[in-house]
Amino acid sequence: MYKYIELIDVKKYYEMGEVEIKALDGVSLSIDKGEFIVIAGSSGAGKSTVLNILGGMDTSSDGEVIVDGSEISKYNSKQLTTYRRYDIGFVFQFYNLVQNLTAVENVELATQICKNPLNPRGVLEQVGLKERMDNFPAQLSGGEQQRVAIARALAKNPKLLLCDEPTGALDYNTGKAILKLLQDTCRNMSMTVIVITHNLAIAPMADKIIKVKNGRVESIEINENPIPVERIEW
Amino acid sequence: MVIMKNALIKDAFREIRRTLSKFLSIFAIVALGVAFFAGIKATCPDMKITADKYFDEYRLMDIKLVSTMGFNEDDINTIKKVPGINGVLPAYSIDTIVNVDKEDLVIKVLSLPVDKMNNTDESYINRVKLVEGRYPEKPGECLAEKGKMLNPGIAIGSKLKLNSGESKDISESLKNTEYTIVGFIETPYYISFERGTSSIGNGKVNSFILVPKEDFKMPVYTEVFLTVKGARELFTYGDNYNEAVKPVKKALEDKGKVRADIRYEEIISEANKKLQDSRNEIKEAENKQKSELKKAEEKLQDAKIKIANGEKELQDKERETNKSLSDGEAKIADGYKKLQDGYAQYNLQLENFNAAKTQAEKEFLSADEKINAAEKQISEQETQLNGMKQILATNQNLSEAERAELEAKVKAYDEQLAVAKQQLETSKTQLSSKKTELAEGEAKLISGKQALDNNKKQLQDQETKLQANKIKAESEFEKAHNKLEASKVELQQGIKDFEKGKKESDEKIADGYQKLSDAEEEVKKLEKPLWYVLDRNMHIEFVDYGKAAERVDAIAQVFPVFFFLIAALVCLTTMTRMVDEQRIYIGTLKALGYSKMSIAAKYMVYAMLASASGSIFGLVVGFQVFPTVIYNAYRIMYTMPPVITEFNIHYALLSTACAVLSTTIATWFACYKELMETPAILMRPKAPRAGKRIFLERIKFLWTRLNFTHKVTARNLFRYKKRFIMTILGIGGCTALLLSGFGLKDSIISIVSKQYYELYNYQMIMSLEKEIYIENSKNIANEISKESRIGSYIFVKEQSIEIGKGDKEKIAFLYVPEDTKKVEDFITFRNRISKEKLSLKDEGVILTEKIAKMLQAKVGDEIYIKDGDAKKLKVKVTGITENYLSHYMYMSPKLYEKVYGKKIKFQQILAKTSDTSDAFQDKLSIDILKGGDISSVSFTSGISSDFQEMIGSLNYVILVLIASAGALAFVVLYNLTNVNVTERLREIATIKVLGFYDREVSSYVYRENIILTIIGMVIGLVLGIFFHKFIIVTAEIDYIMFGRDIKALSFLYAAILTMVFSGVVNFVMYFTLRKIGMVESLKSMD
Repeated sequence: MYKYIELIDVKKYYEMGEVEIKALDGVSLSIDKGEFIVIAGSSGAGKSTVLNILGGMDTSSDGEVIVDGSEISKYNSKQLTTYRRYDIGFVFQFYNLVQNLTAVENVELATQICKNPLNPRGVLEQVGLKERMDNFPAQLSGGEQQRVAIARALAKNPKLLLCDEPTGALDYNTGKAILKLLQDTCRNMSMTVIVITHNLAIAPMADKIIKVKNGRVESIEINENPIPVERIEW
Repeated sequence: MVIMKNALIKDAFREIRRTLSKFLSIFAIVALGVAFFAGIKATCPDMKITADKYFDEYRLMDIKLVSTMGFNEDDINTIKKVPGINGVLPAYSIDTIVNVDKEDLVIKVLSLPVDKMNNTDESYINRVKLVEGRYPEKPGECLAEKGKMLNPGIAIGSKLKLNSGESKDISESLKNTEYTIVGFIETPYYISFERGTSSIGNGKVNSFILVPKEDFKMPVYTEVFLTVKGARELFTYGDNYNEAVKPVKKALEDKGKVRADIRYEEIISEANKKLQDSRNEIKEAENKQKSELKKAEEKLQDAKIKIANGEKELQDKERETNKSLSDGEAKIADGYKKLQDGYAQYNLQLENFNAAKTQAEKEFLSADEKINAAEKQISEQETQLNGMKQILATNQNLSEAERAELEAKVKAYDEQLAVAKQQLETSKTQLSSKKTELAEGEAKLISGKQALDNNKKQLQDQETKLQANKIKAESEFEKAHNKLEASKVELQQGIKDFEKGKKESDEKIADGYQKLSDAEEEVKKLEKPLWYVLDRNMHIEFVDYGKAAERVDAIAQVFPVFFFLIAALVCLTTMTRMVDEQRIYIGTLKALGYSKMSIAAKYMVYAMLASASGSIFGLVVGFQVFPTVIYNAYRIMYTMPPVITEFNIHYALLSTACAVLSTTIATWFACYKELMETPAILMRPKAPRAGKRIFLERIKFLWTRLNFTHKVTARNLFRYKKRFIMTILGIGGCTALLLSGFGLKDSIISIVSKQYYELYNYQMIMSLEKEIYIENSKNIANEISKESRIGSYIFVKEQSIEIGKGDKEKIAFLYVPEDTKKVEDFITFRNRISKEKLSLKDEGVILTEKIAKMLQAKVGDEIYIKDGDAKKLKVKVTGITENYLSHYMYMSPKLYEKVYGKKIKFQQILAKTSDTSDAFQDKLSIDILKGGDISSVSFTSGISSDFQEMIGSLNYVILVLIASAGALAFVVLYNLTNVNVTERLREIATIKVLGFYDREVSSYVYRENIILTIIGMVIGLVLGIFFHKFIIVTAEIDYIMFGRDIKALSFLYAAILTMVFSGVVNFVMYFTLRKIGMVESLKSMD
């Protein structure tokens, strides 16, 4: 099967004085288009690093990263920026919305530089923020803020949607709602969604579960039948 | 009481090491501010201290004495006895002309006291410092000053030939007229570029040389230099010094008056004696002349008489001769006439005679014939008779009757014969007598003719003789006449000569008398010698230099303070940033239970250490660098030794205190807010500033037009208010400083062009030898009118007076033109702001703007002129005119008469010239000064260029300030931009993640920067105008009014420079932005 995303023996080292920290010590995995992937692992395992590399925010020290046929591990900084611009949608744990812009403006910030963006208002409606479009992030709750962040990522119409612990700062119910949103997006828009979490309870919702430990892929589990997230209780 | 626990202290110091760059940035900005403030403030005192030391070491005179009649030995001795005097140096000086490189330079020759030139002699005043070569050892050697004044071609070994520049020969005053330079010197007596004025050459002294005192041949000393006891130990620019010198000055002035009287008497009596001698001489000469003339006259008279006599004689003789000649001539003429008559008669007679002769001869012939016939007859008769007789005698045959008859016949015949004989005899006799008569007659005629001829000959002879005589007489007469004429001519000549001689000697004598009476007049006019006691404050070099130092101080009033403020601002932002970044730490400490004070202490100490050490460093550098830089800029104009930089405790403490205080207070403000928060809040990440709708959004139609990113920028601008204000202030301040700097330059430079080309419309100022009434000005006026190079001119009077209003008094110049209408051609009177023209009226005076302001006098106010110590002459102000240099009170001649109660005398002439080139002016002044009525000449071009130079020194100072304003602006902008970026790290990282290219990221940040810069710049330009005005008014020197206008170009420069600085900062920022790592910046709080 055509591998949409492929990581081949990817390594990431950091030099801190004389000490060499191996964030990733030879990660190999593959992801298909339209899959909902969960990357799980304990703190400091290297999950974020994988996401960062996939998202073009960081470069690997060794190995290959191929996304939709392009070897992004060989990209220079400008190419990576282009990659991020058109191909990636990123959702952070702490939303990272621009405080000075309203919800819709935050989304517009992202869409104004894309090739085929979706309608910002439309997307916001889609994420259920029809009433809150002209509010500043300070006037929105955590969940609403995260939705805005997701809307921002979605409106870009990216190839990949990368989410780094999207529910980390949210309560149980709100988190669930967000996850549902992500799952629906994945299903309805056939978008490849990768979610990082250290909460294995949500693993059943994913098509693939990649467990990372000590900078290596510990296991890759495939879910034949992913469960809708609202049915998962933890 | 701050109790610093051990760990806290450790932490504080580690913090410093950890955030060394922050520490250093505070250190640096404080150092900069302090260096500026203290350094520039210290420049003025340093300059003065340097001068003081120099003056002390080289014994610059405390007092200079000059007198209208010089000083003789008695004067010197009197001076030496004045209490309080330390050293006395009598000196000579004389102005000369030296031709260097085809240019005539005026060189002042000063005496060098070669004998006193060993250090311990206190009377070696105004010492010289040898910088090259050696001191003079032989006569004919001299010392010169190095560099700027003399032609650069002059070197050691150059020969200078001195001329007196006037009719008196230089060798009357100096033993040598040519000097060789053997050494170059510097002296505190001449430190600036001004060497004074002169009455020879073009009126301006170019340079000086020093020759040994012995070379001077002058009868009196031209000046005396003195030092005052105890004065050297005092600071020369201080009040104590003036106080110390004052009493000595007064004593000298008093002594001067006494000596003046004595000297006056001496001089007068000597003069009178000389006059008397001269008078006697003249009298003698006159007498001699008289006697000689008399002799000559007598001689002439004699000659005249002789000639007259001779003439008379000649005349008489002539007459005589002429008479005799003419008599002779007449006689001759008569004779000729007679002769002619005679001839005529003769001719007639001859004719008659001839006729008669002819007749007579005819008759003679006939008579002869007759006679002959008769004779014949007779003879016949006789014969007959004889015959008869014979007959008778013989014949006896006769008859008696026949005898008788014959006897009768014989008798008859005898009788007849006798009668016939007798008749014949008679006829013969008659004939012969008639013949004789005829012959006589002829002979007579002939003799008559002969006589006539003789006469004629005689006459001719006589005539010839006469002619000859005549000619001789004529020639002799001619000769005699000629001689006489010659003698006459000689006499005439003699008379002429005599006349001439008389006239000449008369003239000479008259001249002599005239000179005598002139001299007498002069002697009468001789004023008492006046001693001028000049202390250092009247030595223009000294005052000039002091004023230069003060000018720096004036400008330093405002600039450095601003630097300080900016330094405080930067510190505030840095510390705020630091505190912000360490909220969690602060929160933790609070949670641990540390008091607010102890926590704050860390940051306070940090700031204090940074600012204290920065201050110290700034002081060390500032006290050295700034005075040196500014001083060396001035050294281009002043010949001074290297600067002495003092550690000025006063400014050191002041600036350090300010620095530390301002940074500490800033830090306190930064801490305070954080410290008030609860630990919990502190330990959470700082809630980002809430976005708010801004005012601009309400202007719907404008808002919807804005580009999305522009909306972001707009909102960002108003979101971070503190940053907004700081940036604007920082940039505004920078622009304001730049504008003030440029504006100051404009104001100062425009003074000269405004004053000398707009307000003063003349090119030349001539000072008269003596003050004169306008009626007596015809001669001088004529001389000037004849000079084609001078156009229109006007007589004026300029006098220094004290004027006042209320209790304020100031010194100004009283200026009275000869004509109030004519003066408007030369001086423009106008209101500075409205440009409305004013005219000088008789009702009141026109004041110049600055002094009107200083006295707070308005149009219509009454002010007074001080006359003496107590009298006040009141005048009304009828106009206030634009003016930049010095203070003037313009008055009409009529008003002058009214106010002063006396007729006005003028002592200056303003004139317009046809050209203003240097060569033209030099030649013109040389020619004008030759006249003698004019004692000095100056040109506005010269004055204005002098002033330009003086002001030019300010340029350096201003340049330094502008450069530093720029540097500071750069630092502020960089700092602020840095803060800007750091605070929005997350935001910037996010948009990077979103895929913004580097350039887009930069412009995201720049847009705000640029808008802030523009706003700041505009505000700064406005602020700058006020700032500029403030500086002008504060830093203005008393007798100058700076122009109040800023040129449009300056605004442009200030704006452009600000943009340039901003641009540079943004450029540097670009690299920082590029380096922002998305991953690090967006690290979650795991």
